[in-house]
Amino acid sequence: MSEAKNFNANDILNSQRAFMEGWLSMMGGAPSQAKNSEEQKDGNWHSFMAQIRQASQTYFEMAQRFTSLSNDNLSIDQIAQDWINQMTALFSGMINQPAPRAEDMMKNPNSFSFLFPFTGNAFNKIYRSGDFSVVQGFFEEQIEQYLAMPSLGYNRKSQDEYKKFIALMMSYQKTTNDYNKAMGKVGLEALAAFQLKLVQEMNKEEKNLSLKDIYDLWTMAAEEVYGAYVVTEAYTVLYGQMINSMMALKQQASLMMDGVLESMNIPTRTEVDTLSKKVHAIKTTCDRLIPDEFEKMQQQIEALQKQMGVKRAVIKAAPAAKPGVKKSTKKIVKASAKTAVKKAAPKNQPASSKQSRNTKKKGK
Amino acid sequence: MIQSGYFNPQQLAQEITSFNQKFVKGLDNLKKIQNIPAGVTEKEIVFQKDKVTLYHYKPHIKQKQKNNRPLLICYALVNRPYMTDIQENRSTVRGLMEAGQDVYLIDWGYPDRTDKYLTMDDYINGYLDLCVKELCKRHNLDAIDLLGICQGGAFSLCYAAMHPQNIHKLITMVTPVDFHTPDNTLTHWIKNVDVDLLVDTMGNISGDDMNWTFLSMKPFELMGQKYLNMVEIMQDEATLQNFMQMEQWIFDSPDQAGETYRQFIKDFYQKNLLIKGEVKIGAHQVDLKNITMPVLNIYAKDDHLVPPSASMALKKYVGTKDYTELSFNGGHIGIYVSGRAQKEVPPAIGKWLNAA
Repeated sequence: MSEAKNFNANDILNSQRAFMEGWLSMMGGAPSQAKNSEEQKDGNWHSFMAQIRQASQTYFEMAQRFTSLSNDNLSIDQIAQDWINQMTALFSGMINQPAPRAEDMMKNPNSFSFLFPFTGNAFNKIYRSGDFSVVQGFFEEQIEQYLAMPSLGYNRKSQDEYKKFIALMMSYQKTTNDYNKAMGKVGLEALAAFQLKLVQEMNKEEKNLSLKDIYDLWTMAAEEVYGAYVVTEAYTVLYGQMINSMMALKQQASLMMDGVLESMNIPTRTEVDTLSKKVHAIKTTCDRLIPDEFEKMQQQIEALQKQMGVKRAVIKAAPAAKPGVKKSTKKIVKASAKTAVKKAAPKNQPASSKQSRNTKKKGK
Repeated sequence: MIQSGYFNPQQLAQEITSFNQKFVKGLDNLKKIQNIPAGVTEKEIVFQKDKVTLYHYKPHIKQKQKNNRPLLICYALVNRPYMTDIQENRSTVRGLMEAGQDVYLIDWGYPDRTDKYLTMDDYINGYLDLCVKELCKRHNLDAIDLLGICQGGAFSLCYAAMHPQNIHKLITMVTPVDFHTPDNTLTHWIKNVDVDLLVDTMGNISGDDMNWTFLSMKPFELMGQKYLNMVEIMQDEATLQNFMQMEQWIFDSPDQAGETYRQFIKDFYQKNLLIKGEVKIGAHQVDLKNITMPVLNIYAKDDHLVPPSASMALKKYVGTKDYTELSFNGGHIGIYVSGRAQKEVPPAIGKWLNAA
């Protein structure tokens, strides 16, 4: 590494190159990941590396601005202010930009800021997860005439469906745009908070700020401002509107896709859902019936076994039947049988209730 | 306006170079990480139903004091239960075993789209009940000890309220009870979301989307700063291994069965019915007053997912006179994996369970 006094732009370029080369070489030798989740094997690794790359890029971007090296002959104040101005322009742009087209949002969900992990991205991802490029293409080509004309003819129903889709698309664009603007404001406030923290830190005696210190200050400031905003009523309304409009759009797209699939005699999502619901209902019934029936059968078997035991006791107690046995002997046999039944039952309880109690205990 | 001259551009440039060098060097350590286990303590399957598995942890040490009553851990449907056993020196499971407990754990598995109609009734009065009965049968007992974690704690509360005769002692860890405390960010976020529309549209709620929601709670730290800090961690193989294990767990997120998500979000988060005694699960009304067995409620002071206030509310609503609270000086995850947690939490649970 170069000595501080001889440090120049080439050193940075060389180290950046080493960074990228190291990173690229790793892509060919990813460690094995969770074995219990197939999709994690590769997905985690790549997303993990992407996270490092993204975080590093942010860091480098910041470094580039802050160092600007002495080549530009800028004072430290100017460098810091230059960076803050640039960020201000970025966030102001987010606030003032016209509503983006949904297609653009899908293509470039990360366009908002390199420093701002925009939380709305998740919903773009959800949006993208629905494969309705067919209707998207249709939307692009036909939007103007569909909006202008009333539905006519034998396919008016499908025309209405497309119109509904377009209306929902526009609603989603509006809510997403509102969300972006709100996040832009958060970004500006975060910058102001960052600037304040930076001044405080720099005014501390003997404090030599590292780039990491500056990055951490930015993170802290942004997190504080963002954290305070996202628990406000305004944010919860905005968040709800964005998700709801997203879901309404996606649901409509899914219904339209069902129509396309049906026309090709392919099972639809609605049909699969109906089947899943029926299977679940049948399974629930079976799962609950089988143990109940099993318990009943077990009770019956135990009752029968008891009865057989009683009969055996009766037979044991009775002398072998001989011709000419008197009636009084039969009475003795009956009395023995009663004793046997009583023995099987607890005191003050009929035999049948003891049977069921035993069964219950065993059933556990 | 910045008014000081304490920036040193050359120092900053040097720092970047150093960062890159550390990263490149750290990649060598990263290459060495080949296996990231999902749980470390040896265990055996004792019961299975559909995608749900009940595990029994095999004792790995000679226990000084043995509690013969089994302890069942009921984890959340969100993320995977091996968080409780993530590595040898950071394992709640091991800590509990060392404290004399016979530990079992429910693994809910990975629901797929065919499981979309699984309800809370299926999970609680179905799978959880089957696991409890299996353990009662196996140990020839009428009741077992139950430890519920996070959402699994809410499930355990519901179960204990519906089937109090089956639970001897109940422990809840970082469990939300009052979902409408002002500091509950997730409640704020879900407040105006049309959950019916969401579930009807999406079916199951994907693990990725759940993760994104959690990351969005602290996006700058969790999506940026954490990975930048990782470059320092990469220098040490063992620390990097720990980091990667956590990273795997964080993003090992099963999808949420749609109908269960629907009821949990609507009845618990949006309507806060649990503390009102108005949650209905299957044929049962859930009344926390039915929880008359001893209860140990553990919460984390810095929990940003389940604020302490949401957990501590339990005291007001349970029917038991034997209620104990334990606060942990850490966060929602730290309560299982931090060094302090290992020293404090499992021994405290063990002591409480072993007491007559």
